[in-house]
Amino acid sequence: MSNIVINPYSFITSVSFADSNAISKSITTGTAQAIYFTDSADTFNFIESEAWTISFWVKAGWSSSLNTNIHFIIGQEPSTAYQLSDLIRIYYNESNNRLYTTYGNKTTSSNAKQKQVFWLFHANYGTYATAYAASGLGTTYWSAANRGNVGDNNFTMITLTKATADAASSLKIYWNAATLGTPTTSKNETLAVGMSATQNRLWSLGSNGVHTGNDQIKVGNSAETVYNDLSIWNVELTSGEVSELYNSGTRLDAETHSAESNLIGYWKFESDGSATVSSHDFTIAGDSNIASV
Amino acid sequence: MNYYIITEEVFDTLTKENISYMLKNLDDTQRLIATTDMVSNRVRKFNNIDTCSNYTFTNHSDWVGDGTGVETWEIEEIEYISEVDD
Repeated sequence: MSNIVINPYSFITSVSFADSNAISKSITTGTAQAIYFTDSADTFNFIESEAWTISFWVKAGWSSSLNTNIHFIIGQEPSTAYQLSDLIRIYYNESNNRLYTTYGNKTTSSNAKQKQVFWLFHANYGTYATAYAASGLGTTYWSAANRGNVGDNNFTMITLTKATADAASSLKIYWNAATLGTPTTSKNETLAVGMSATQNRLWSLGSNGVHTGNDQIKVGNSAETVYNDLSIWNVELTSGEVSELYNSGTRLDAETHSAESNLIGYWKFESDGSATVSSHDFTIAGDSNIASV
Repeated sequence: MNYYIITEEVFDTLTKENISYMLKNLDDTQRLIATTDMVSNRVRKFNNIDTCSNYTFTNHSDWVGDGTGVETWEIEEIEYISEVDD
C-alpha cells in the first residue's frame, strides 16, 4: 500500500512505495561479480563545470577488519591504463573510517587533475563533529556491526551533491537527511585536461570499476553489501530536497519528488537492474543478485 | 618518496609530518608507510610504489581482508593524518 504525504516543497504529491527488493553486491571480487552499465548515451557525462546529485541507499555488509576501500558508485573511463581517468566516485575508506568523493581526470600517477574531499566519522571535534553527529556511528567504524543512523530496513541514504563551480568546496554529502558538514579537502588540483562530455563512462555499483588491465573489483568481506534506489540528477539538490528524498527514512518514489524534472537516472532494483528513468539498465553479474530488503 | 614496512614501535619514533600514507596490517603489529624520510630500522623496503603495491597483493592476508591488496592510487590518494589516524 502506498503512503501518500503532502510534499512541503511543492504542490507535487510525494509517494512512497512498496520497496520489497534491493541489489546485493557479491562479496567475491572480480569483474565477473560486478554490477555495471556503460553510458553509451552520454547521459551522465558530467564535467567539472556542471552540477549534479547522486543518491543511493546502502546497508553496510562489510567487516570492520576489511582494511581497504569500498567503492559505492563510480563512473569512469573504461579500458584505460590508469584507474583515475575521467571519473566521479564515492567510496568508504574503511581503514581510516572516512567517506571520500572524487571527480576529475587524473590520467597518470604523476599529473594533478582532480578534486577530492573526505569526511571523518569517529572524531567528535572541530570540523569533524558534524559528520560524527550525522552518521551516529560513534567512535566505532562503519560496518555491518555498526550502521549508525539508519532509515527503514537498516539502510542509510547517502547523497552526494556538486555545485557548478569547479572546486573541492562544491562537493557535499548528506547522511540520510543530515549534512556531513564541511569536508576536509584532500585534492583541489586544476583540471588541466578536463573531464570528457562524450566519454562512454562505465558506471559500477559496489565495486571500483570494471577496468581493463586492473581487475581490482572489490566490495569487502564479511557479508554482502546491499544497495537500493539509486537516483542521479542533473542539478545540485538543496538540503530541503535531500530531506524530501529521504522521506523520514522510507524510500520515496523519486518520480514524485518536487525536482523530478531534473531526475535523469533512477533504478529501484525491485526485480532486476532495469532503469525506471534512463535508457541504461544495470548488468548484474555472477553472485550479485536482487534480494529482499 | 620512500616506501617501507616497519614495526609499530619504529613507527612511533618517526616524524609524522613527513608521512603521507600509513596502513596498519591486520594484526596491528606493522605499518606500511610512504615517507620522505629515510628509515634504516625497517622490516622491508620497496624500490617504488609499484613494488610496494604488488607486495600487498601477494601477501594480502596480512594487509587486506578481501583477498586483494593495496592499489597504487590508494597510497597516493589516502593521506595520513597524524591527529586522527592513530
